[in-house]
Amino acid sequence: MTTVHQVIPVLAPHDAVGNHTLMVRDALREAGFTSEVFSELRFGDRAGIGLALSDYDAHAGDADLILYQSSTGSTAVQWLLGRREPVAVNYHNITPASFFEPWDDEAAASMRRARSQLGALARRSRLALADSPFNAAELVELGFSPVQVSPLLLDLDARLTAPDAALAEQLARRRDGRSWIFVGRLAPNKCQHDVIAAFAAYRLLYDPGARLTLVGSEAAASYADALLGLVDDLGLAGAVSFTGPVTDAELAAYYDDADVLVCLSRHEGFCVPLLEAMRHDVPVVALAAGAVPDTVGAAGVLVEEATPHLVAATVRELLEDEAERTALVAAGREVVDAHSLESAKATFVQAIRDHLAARG
Amino acid sequence: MDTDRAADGFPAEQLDAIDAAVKRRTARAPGANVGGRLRELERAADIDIDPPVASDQRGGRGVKVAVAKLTGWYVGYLAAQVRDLGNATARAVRASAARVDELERRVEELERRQAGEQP
Repeated sequence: MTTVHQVIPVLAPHDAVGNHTLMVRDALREAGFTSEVFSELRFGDRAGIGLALSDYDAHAGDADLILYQSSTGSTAVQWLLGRREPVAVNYHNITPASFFEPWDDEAAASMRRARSQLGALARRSRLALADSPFNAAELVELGFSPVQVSPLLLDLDARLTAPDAALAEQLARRRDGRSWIFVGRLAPNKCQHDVIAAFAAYRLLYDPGARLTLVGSEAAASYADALLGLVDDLGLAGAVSFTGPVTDAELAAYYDDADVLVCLSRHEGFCVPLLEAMRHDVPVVALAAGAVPDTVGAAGVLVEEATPHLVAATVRELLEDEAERTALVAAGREVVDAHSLESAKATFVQAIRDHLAARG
Repeated sequence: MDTDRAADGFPAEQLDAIDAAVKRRTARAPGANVGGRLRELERAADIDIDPPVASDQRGGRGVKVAVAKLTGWYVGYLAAQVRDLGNATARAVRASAARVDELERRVEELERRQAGEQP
């Protein structure tokens, strides 16, 4: 039986890469492979899932391929470099350190280390899989070959839990205008400051009762502090909410309440929240940067720059034009269907099969 | 799209105020976080003289272990000096950073006083 094991630095709750890894394992097993997930650290509801990397030799047997899930730095890379088994890399993007350098030197240093480790893997890797053309281009630049675009495994239907009823009621009570949302860690590359500025312009120009909800945990405390300060400076204290981490039911309530998701991120390797918004029939306005145009396709309005009053005008035009809004929601459903878990599993497993067959 | 900044009634000044607030809150030169950089320097100065010995070449691990043992006394001697240099550099930068902080505080105070004196 063919054996393909995976290595991931950390298995954490609510993490798209961790979810992907576990679904890849299940897909490989369903396809008749032997497959385990090994990680250096597992915590939260993932503590008992998979196996510890330190136990690899005791449990793994002879693997035909070790698939490394790369989205962060890890000492597992040194471990991989010392293995005899063929290694493949599944890349989900590492944020360039330059975004974090002004805000958090430790995070920036960690990102520099992670990129350097990824570069070191290029010469050992027999196959590199990227979940977007944008990520694939980064791998080619680092010297990986061959590089293939292969889907991120996402169970968007599983995220369609019933919304938190109390929160939904509270949001409905507070509604006094249009509701904006952005979902993602409070991180300099995600540029929530641009979303806040565009939202301030939108309230000023069109809708003084509008609200903005920023869902996500802090990635850099100094950046989060700057966002809070900006909200105060612009007099938006009652209009902008920072939720911190949320449960699936709370997230569903926020999406259900939203009229539009505005993403002005300058660096994304994929951006799962764009698809989540489409799954909840929330139209998307996004900056055409990083992998965002690939992920959004024709199912969102892309803007070329994050100038506040231009973004505000784009959002207003979309929300006032019912026909366009309906067309975008319909296009969003098509994009979501194209990312169906079953077809993504089949495509991913086929990429692994083709590689192993070509190697003989 | 009604975004002509020259149009009558367009609140250009208020939009400029939004831009200014964003700049004020987010314009941070790389290196502003001196404390973080110093911690990075101190970590880098903590030289690890035990090299990784894993290898995918037959016999590679044994060769690496042997080379590490043979050169350990020399590498250790060098590492101790590099560690001392790193720590001394970190102390010097920390002292300079404190002086810069004090100068910046005085400049801000002077700017505030000057602004207050103007009509």
